[in-house]
Amino acid sequence: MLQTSVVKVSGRGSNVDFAIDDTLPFEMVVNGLREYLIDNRLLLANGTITINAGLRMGSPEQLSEMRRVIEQESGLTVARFWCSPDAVDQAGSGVQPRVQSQPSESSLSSRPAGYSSNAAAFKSFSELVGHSDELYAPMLGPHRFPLEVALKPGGRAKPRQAETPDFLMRELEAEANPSEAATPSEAANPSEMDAPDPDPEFRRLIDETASEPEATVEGPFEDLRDAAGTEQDGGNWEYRRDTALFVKSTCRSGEVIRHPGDVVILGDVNPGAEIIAGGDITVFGSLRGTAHAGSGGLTKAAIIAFCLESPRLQIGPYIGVAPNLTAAKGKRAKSGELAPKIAYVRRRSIYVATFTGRFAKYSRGIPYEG
Amino acid sequence: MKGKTIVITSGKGGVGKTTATANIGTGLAMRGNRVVVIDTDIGLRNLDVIMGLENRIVYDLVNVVEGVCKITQAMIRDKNKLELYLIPAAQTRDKSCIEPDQLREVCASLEEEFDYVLMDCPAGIEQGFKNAVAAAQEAILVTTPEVSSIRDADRVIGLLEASELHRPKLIINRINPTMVKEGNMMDQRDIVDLLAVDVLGLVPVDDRTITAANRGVPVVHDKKSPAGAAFLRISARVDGDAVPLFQVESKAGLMSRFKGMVGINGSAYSHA
Repeated sequence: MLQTSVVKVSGRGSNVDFAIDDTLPFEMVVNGLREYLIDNRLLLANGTITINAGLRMGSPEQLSEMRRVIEQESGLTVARFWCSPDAVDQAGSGVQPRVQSQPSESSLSSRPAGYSSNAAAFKSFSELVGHSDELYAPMLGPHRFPLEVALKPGGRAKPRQAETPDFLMRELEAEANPSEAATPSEAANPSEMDAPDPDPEFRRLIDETASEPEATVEGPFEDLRDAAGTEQDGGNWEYRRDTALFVKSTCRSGEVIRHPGDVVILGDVNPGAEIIAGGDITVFGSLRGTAHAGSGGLTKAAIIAFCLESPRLQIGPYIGVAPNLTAAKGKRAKSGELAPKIAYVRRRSIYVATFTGRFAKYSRGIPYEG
Repeated sequence: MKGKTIVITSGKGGVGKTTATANIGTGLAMRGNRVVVIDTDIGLRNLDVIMGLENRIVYDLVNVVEGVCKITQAMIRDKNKLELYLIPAAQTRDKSCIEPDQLREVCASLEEEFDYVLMDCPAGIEQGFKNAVAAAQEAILVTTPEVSSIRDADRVIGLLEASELHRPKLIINRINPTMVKEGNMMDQRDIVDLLAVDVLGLVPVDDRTITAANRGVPVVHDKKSPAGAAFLRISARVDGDAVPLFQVESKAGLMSRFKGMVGINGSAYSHA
């Protein structure tokens, strides 16, 4: 899923879905949309799209304005607008009880804290909103809670409550308490808002938050190793920088390891095993199962393995299928070499290059596709 | 006497679990142990046929569990008068007739009387597998050098570890040295690399295994069979003897016999 702060775009096959933040002021949406379309004009040359308008479904003027912007700035044709039923309910009741709908959180969740990859997205967002007091108020205010929530799953146009781990849900519910979830203007602190760039301040707060011991973290992680593999499609959560999972054993067929942060595996990942990480995946052994890095849409995530023989790699929304697996297998059996490889996203497909011990830009990779 | 309960499992069907159970059981009995083999494959019983005891069945495992008969009544002694007994499975029932606890109880009482209790596990990872695994203290994993079998074995190792049966021992069955040499079959080293478990034995493909099964005499009784010899060595290893994995080129006598059987000239391949 491509994400800017305002517009979320997900594509599958020939379908492209635009999801637009419900809660931002409408001018902001239009500006963000226009900016997105200008940036991505080449990607969206022509075609038909649908728009998830969320809470805006009730306003025909706004919808037609959006349609006008989209059709003007790109070669796209808007087929229809839609929204989820619960969004209609919310719009009808006129209140926004869900913490996920808070503007600050929506905007922040698209930006994993301190992770350089999303710096660009953040910059465009900060330019877009012009350091608006309204939007930054909650995270610079005296409460650290909104900040905490911003790092967690949530903050989507469509809340994915079913997939949110329990301990997160408890926290989210606690945040939903009206007294805590202060409205942006109430929590605003004018003196802090004068800072020309909120980024360093924000990062400092993030670091403080990350360094605090989290008692609730232990429990869910024990359950991450889901040998039965019953859960489906749970890996679409936001990247969490402050947690990494370290697995010191072979991951066998049928095992599913899910983690919102980075995953490091000391051992092999055998065929039939599945690793889903919000961040990077590093395997100190052979990767022969499937791996999905950056499952929250983080296309800067990478997959590194001593021996990369996965039949299927996925980074963010992009999928790579092993190039002629049988030939590669025969070659490995003969040479027995263990050359560390890194898989990364380039030009919307998965490339693989020899890992040289750095995360800098790789350019001479070969595409990982059949 | 406090014996050991060992489950022989594979995940995939048709890889030779039942054959391995019959042969290891017979091999252990030939070494002077008191052995009982239990067929836990309720509804699809085979072990009695392989051991040639199908005509002597009166009571079965389900009868024992349900208290219809005593354990000793269900035990059938081996044809060759070894200290080897079979508890057959019921053919007319299904896996849900037995609870893991009941089987655990049966095994615990058998361990008092016998040196080894071997359980032939059904294929799959459902109720029958769970029953057998719950009662066992050790596990032997049978696989063939095929990707599907190895994939299933990998899954089963994960499940065994989840039920506290760590470090199962691996038997690679039906290795075809000719095919391995030509690169058409997975080498045992590849399999061991992938599964990361200890090897208990390597069994070559051998037509005599089939004829022996058809006659109801486990192939370990056949002194000319390489598979029988392999199973004898496996039994010795189960019994605690440190028998090295057999190297074909280092044992000229057996090698020439083996070559004569499979029709190859000199193989760098090693089997046990």
